[in-house]
Amino acid sequence: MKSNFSKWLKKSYIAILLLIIYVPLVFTVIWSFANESAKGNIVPNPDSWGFQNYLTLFTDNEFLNSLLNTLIIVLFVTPISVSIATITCYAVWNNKKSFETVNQGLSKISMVNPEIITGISLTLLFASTWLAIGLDMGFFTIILSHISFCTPYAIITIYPRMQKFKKNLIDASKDLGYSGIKTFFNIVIPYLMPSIVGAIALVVVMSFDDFIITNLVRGRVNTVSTEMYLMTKGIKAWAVSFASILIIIFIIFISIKSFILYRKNKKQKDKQISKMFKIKGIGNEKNI
Amino acid sequence: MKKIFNKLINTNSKKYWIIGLIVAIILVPIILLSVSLTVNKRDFVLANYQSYISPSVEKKLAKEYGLSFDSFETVENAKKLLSSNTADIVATTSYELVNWYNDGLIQKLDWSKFNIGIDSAADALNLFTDSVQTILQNFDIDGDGNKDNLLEYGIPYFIQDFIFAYRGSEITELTNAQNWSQAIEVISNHDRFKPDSKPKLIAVDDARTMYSIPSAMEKNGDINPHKNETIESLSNTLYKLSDSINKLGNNAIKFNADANAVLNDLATNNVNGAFLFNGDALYASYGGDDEIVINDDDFHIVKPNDALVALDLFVFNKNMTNDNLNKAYQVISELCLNFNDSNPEDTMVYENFDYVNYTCTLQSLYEYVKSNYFDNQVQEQIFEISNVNSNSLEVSIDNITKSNLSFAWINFKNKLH
Repeated sequence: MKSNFSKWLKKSYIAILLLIIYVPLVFTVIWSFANESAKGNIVPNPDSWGFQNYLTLFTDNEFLNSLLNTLIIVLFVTPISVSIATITCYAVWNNKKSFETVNQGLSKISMVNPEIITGISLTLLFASTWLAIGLDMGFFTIILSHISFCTPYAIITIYPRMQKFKKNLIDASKDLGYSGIKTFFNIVIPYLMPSIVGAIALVVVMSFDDFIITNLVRGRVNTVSTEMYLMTKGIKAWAVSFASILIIIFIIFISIKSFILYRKNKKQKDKQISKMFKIKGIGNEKNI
Repeated sequence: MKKIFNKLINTNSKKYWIIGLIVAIILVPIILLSVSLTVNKRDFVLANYQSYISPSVEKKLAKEYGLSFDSFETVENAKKLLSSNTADIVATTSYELVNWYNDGLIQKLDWSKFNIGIDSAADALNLFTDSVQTILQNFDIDGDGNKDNLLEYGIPYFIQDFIFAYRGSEITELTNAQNWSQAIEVISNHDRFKPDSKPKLIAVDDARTMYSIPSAMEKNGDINPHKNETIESLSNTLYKLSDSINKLGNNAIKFNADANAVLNDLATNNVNGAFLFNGDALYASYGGDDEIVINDDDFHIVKPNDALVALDLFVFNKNMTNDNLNKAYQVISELCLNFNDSNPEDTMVYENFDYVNYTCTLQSLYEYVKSNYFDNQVQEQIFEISNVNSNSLEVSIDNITKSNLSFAWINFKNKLH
């Protein structure tokens, strides 16, 4: 019995771990259908269930404004951060070893530094420059702040793949007549694309989610994170509904991506098998 | 676009790339700046505590005046919104208003601009209840040694006192307690508040607010710490409360910074007693978020005469534009001052009170609510605030004392069994 249990545990411990991670998300989706209280909070024992929270979510102007602001910020921050990170990774890889060590170190310092320290230093910077010339904090300061703290994370994501890049590919490309710029866009970028996509996803999430730095430099701009984190009296129904929408979107996205990958892998596998049979002269695969 | 891009990357000329880079370096900040200055501009902002204004009132004010809303956790955070010009109208407490005046952050009010037939702050006093008037005339704003009128700089919003509410049948000694000493004496010896497997008491996790109880017990009703009071001295005062609570046994009380959680625990009878503000107690008496039906004889309160009383007011940012200033007077007039008891439910003041349910400051609204709003006597008692003296008002404390109080609070919690 013990060996049956240990066998079962070996097979299913990952599923158990994933269950522990995903159960709160499932609860979030379920509670998003519990109608809110008089103060707009989610309650443990609701007297009715329905779609009311979702209907009020998209008529709440403050929420819609904050969502629009967040999307604008993410739209600007992501391409700028990832572009800077990609160029930095290539430049560091292409240069002396000492540059790599320095770059890695500086990126790590930025990452291990508590966000509140980063936020305070950025606030002081803007207070002595931006505010000093009579401008207010807002989108510009938020976007610059997000670029500054997201870029190191993008660098850390892209650089490991850059390290595995073979220098002789660059030499071969140049031998074939490509300029440096052409080589970068036609050889390096396609090679780095999986890491770039990963960096984009990471930067989007970090920029979308950030509160500490955003709250210090936002001025009059509100974002979804500042609206959510400043909930002090109960958990608001709109926050649960919005979280639930995000969870469902990500589940659908990951499911579609996994399905496409599965189909692609299956096709490749089928192709390989049929090739194998043709080579061995066993006949066509329809007879198998 | 693809052709241009391909042409760009296929060209051997570095010149185009350098020009492109310079254009990008100039264009990107310009685009960012224009986004910053134009998109979703929040020109006119009111900052308040969360859930301290009705959502329907917010929508009406947003539609009529283009007002946006911001929230803050503590009144100390609210100062940042003023000083960084993030908000035009900010909610604050009576003692913090004095600090903000001294920091040059708020502007003097012109009561004639509220268009309610009142021309001066002195005349405006009579608009408010006696308790509110006592508070409004209790502070020396400009430091000249004379008491001033807070209406020169602020408009009262809601008033609240810090009380004890409990479930079950009435405990006569507790209801008759005149002050915190008597109340704590009864609470700390009554079986109803003894923990079983979990605590039967809950309180807001706020050092300054909870300090008011043992301070009133020790200093003859004075709820405030003294200037530069040491951690040891503050801790010793707080130990008066912990020693009493420890008589109930281990794990007798729990704390929660979320006032909503405190009132819901009381409403659902997870606890038998709670230390909380009267507005939260009122919502708990309605059954809290779950809207549980609570019998009249199953909910009681204790209002010691040395309980902390807090008055919230709205102030105007000194750096507001003239356009916003004119709108601000109209907004506050509708939100806080214009009450018509012949058509009360048409007024924003009433609509807002109906949601927030804290004790209103406007005399006419107060009288109307007392007479017409509540279902039972307990709710009316919760709503009433009448015992206001200078000792029961919070005063500003310096940062060292604030910091010492935080440490003393940790010592207090460690001393609890």
